[in-house]
Amino acid sequence: MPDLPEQSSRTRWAGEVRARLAGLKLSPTREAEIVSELSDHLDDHWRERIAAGASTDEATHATLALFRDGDFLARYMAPLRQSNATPPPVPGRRTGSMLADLRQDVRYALRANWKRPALALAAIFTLALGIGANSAIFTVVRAVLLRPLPYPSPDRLTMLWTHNPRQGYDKDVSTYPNFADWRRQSASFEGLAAYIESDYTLTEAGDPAHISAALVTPGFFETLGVAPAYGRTFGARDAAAGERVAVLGHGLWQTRFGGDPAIVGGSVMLNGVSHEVAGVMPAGFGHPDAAQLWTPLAPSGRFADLMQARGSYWLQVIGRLTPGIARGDAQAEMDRIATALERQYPETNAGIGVRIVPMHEEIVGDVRQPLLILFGAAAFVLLIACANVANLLLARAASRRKELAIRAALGAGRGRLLRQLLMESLVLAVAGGAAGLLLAWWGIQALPSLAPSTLPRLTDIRIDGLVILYTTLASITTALVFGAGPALRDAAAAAGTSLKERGQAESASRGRRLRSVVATLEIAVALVLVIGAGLLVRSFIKLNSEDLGFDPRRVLAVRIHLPAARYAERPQIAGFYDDFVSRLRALPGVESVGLASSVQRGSSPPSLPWRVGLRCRATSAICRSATTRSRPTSSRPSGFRCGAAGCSPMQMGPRRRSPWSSTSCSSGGSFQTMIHWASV
Amino acid sequence: MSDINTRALDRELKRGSAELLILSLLDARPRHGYDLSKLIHQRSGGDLTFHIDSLYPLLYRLEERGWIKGAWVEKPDERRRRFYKLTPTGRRVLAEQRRTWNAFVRAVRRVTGGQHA
Repeated sequence: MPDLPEQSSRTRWAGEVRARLAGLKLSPTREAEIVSELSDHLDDHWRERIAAGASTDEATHATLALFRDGDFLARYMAPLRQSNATPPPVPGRRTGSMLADLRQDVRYALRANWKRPALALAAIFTLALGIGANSAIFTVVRAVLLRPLPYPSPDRLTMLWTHNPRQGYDKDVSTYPNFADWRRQSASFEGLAAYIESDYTLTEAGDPAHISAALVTPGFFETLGVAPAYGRTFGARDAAAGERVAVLGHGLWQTRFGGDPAIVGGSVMLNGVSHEVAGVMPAGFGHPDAAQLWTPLAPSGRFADLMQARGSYWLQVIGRLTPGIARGDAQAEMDRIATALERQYPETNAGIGVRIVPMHEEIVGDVRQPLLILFGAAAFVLLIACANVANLLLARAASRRKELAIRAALGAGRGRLLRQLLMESLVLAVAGGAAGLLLAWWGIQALPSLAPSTLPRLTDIRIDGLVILYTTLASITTALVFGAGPALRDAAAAAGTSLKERGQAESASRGRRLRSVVATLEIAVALVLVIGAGLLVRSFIKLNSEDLGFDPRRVLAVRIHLPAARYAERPQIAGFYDDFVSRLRALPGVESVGLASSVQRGSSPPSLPWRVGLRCRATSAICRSATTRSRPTSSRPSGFRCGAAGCSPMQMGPRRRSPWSSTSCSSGGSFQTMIHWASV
Repeated sequence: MSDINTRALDRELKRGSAELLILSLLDARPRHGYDLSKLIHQRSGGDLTFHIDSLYPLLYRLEERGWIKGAWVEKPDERRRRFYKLTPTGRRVLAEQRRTWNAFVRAVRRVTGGQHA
């Protein structure tokens, strides 16, 4: 028997098998296995034939006859899964499909980050804090500053303020007669309405509750462009008939009346007086912000006297510009009307002008700058986070040099390496962004309890598609910011060095320089933030340590609303409070009790809910000269006016409105106790 | 029976019983492809012959179904070979195929066996 070398016979059979497997998409490994297996079969057969006495040619012929003529092997193999395998990825080599390249890059990125869990987690945590803070602030900015007001054509909605530069009032509330003249004489507005914030005691459907409300002129809802969800709003007839009709807010309707549409046409008890429920406003409507229900401003109601007084400033005015009328043109017209009124009523309207301010600017104006500053600070925090992560990646570079050199040796170009390294950064940034969005969501949930009461549109703050898009873009940008430097450096190093690690010292030196630059940038940004934070803390401490003129410790304030139906006369009111105060004084633990009220010009009892608090130390002439008409900055008293009855505080009005001074009747105990305003 | 009919019958019967043959031979013990080919030829008295280009695709198909499992085995002084063995699924399939085949054969015998005009 011819003694053929094993290798040469198997090599021959391998060639025969391989030729019959052409055209199949076998993986190289699998093809090698099949070739080996079939070659063994053919070789075993050939050797048996030789052992049986056949010649080499006969044995070879008989062995090759095990194959049928034609491409049967390929044909029978074709339906099998292994014959249609996806070729394995070759690191660095293009697959010819952008999507396939992208999938490959993502797989490598995930694997690379998975191998270094500590670094990945540290980076994700750091980025989550930075991106989360940005997303949270952007959510607030989006809702407060960017989102338009929830009214039709919100750009045409305006606030009209009284403007008196001679007295130093840039924006003041209006008087009813002035408002009526504006409405009558102006053609620039398709609707003008006025309102005053107030409150009621609701004694319907559950425990008595204090309800924030607004008294509005006819056309208020039409000016805003919002129709009721159920029923109707007020007309001129309702105002003429008095205040005894109400429109409920959606929230109040849900919580107190079970969301039952049948309440329309029914009645509710407000301040002990029955009011017909005319309608219910839709969800999301709320102007002014705190109002839970609305009643008409009636000439015969509690503000009757004020509605006649041209010199009594108490109303806020809204207006909707007529389509096609520019704000500048409307301002010019209102200036002419104001000049005419000045001539007509020199005693009350001397120097009085009108200022038109877009409603959106009015609502968000006070918070725009602080929010934008906060946004900037959050951006700085993110920059610091990026610098931190960049430093981590730079420090990691040394351990990856060989891996990248191998990839370069296998055919990955510099661009491909750069793309793969940036993809690793992007994976970290996306994970950080997702975690950051979760942190932002938690922060937004806590916002109602943490945010200052002066933050407008609080109920509009929520994470929506734009916030998610912003977070995504922030993540991508962050990946580029912190990933580009290390990626460029590593890709260049891998492409420029061989597996023999030539130039390692030079590469390490470059890395240290880059880390120094990043660290310097990080310190600079952090310093700016620390200085800014320090200034804010100093302002906060100063504000909190300001001498209020009284000691607010151990003082409680109580606001009482007496129903007008039962306490219409002064003796009734005085009797109630005498009894109330004496009962409070009898309580153990109560050191002193006092109360104060304020009487405005005219004889009508005031019903504006002003907050007042003070405690003058005994026997001290604490009075400071009152300063009237200052722009409110807080809800704290800012000064006092002293009269025969004693010292009374300057009460601060609701936000965005200027206060005015008034005399106050004070009880004997009011100078030992901080008291709250009681409407009488 | 003519040659053409014999060849046609041979082809059809082989096609229907190929899986049963392979599974039943592997039931006893693991075997490699050449061993299977020889056994089939020997035990059938030469009536059944598997070409290499149909035997191995069949083995790979059974492997992809999970009825058999192949593994390379290297024994001392022997070349590395790929041995196949039945999986638990393969055993269940074999039992089912045996039942089916036996029922078929009995039915054919009842129809054709011992009854001449």
